[in-house]
Amino acid sequence: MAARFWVGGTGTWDTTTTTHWSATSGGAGGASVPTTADIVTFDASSGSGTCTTATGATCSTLTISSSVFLTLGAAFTANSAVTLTIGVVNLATFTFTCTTFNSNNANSRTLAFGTGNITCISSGTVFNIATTTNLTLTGTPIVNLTYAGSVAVSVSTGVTVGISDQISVNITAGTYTFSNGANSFFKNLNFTGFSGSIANGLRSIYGNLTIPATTTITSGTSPTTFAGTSGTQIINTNTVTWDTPITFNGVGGTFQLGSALTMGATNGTISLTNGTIDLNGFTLLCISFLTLAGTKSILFNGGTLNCTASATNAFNNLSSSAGFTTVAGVGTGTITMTGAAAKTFQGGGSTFNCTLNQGGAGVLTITGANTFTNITNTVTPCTVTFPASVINNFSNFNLNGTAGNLVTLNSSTSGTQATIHYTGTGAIVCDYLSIQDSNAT
Amino acid sequence: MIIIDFIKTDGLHTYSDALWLEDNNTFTNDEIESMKQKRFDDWLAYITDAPSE
Repeated sequence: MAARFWVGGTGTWDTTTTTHWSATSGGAGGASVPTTADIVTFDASSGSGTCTTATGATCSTLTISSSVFLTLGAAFTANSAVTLTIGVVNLATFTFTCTTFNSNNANSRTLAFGTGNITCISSGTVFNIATTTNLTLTGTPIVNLTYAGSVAVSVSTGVTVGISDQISVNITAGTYTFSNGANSFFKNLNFTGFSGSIANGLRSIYGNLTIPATTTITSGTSPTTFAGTSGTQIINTNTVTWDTPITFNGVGGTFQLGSALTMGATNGTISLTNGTIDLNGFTLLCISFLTLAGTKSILFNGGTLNCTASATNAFNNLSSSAGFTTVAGVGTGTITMTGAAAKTFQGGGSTFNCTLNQGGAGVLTITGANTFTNITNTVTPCTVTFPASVINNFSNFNLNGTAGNLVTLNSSTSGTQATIHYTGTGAIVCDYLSIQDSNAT
Repeated sequence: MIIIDFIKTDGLHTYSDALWLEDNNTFTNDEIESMKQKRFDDWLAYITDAPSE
């Protein structure tokens, strides 16, 4: 193992030219070209200009703290860790392979991805730009993690200035536990090829999320936020249970399910602040669904939102109904409330272009003066309690009990009528009902 | 110098590289394709047989 220092400014790093290699910092050129065993340093004595790599350029550890720009002219492999402290690394169109890549500092540095990528092959903290102060990212940032073993791997990707600058990470192999730094930001996060577990951690995803069925997700309370603000981000979890909170908060973004999204029974809550959730015909199963202040929508396209909680906040649109809309799309959408004990649909006075389904044995209490396309039930006997002195509108009404298993309709206040208003555009199919304190108009 | 950029993939891993060849090289197309493939195969073997840090 030898130390090699780049000297003399602009030049080509190939397999034969020794002009720019010195055994000491700022020393004379003419040392042998680095091999995979040699430690290479670009430092303040390297001069200025551009070092362009050619086919076969390689080294062991690589440290860049220099005015010399390192530009790939071919694929480059560092056989050990790479540290970018000061300077520019330009991947152009090529693959930059290393065990780990670290640029976690506040110095002025640029990582120009172009259409190239960084491929990290080892375990441990393999890619670290937790501190993005004075870091410029250009091109399409892609980082590939190819380690195939079982030792834990983590990445830390701090927030960057532009959404398009966020790093896409592909995790293509391994049976390890993947984790991200304290609060990491990603464009696309793709686990295709991965068979390990994803640790709970605070993260924001601005693009697509792809999780294969071979992956497990560790339960936890740190939320994942989908934050894309334009176009359609696709969430494909292959029905792997996701037992951490999810927040949708991207003004103007659409978050489309690519498979059913099954949230866990402990932490699997949904918050919708900004953007559109497109169920895309799939079922989103969560403990509870909460809207927050913002411009937000549910696009059903035949999909189902299944809220499983037996709680007053199972569906909560009470405080932030302003800016909330629902769109049926293609087919009939459904919100089903499946709690086995009492639960509440807090409609907030919104229009629900979908079917509201009583899908659990517990009493379903509706609050707010809402408008629904339909109301149904899939359990009997059951009870639906409407808000007293308030009108709820339905263009279809399909609550049906069976002999000895009635559907009870009543008011939230005994002796005070709730009003169920038929808007006259759809079907009323009812049987075996027990009705009290209700005014049908 | 002739620089030949190329991209190869196995469907999961994508490798972008270039061959830097002398202007007067006498490699045939088949030989160049073989060099590309070897660069990719060597890289694929390297990244899929990585040590832990």
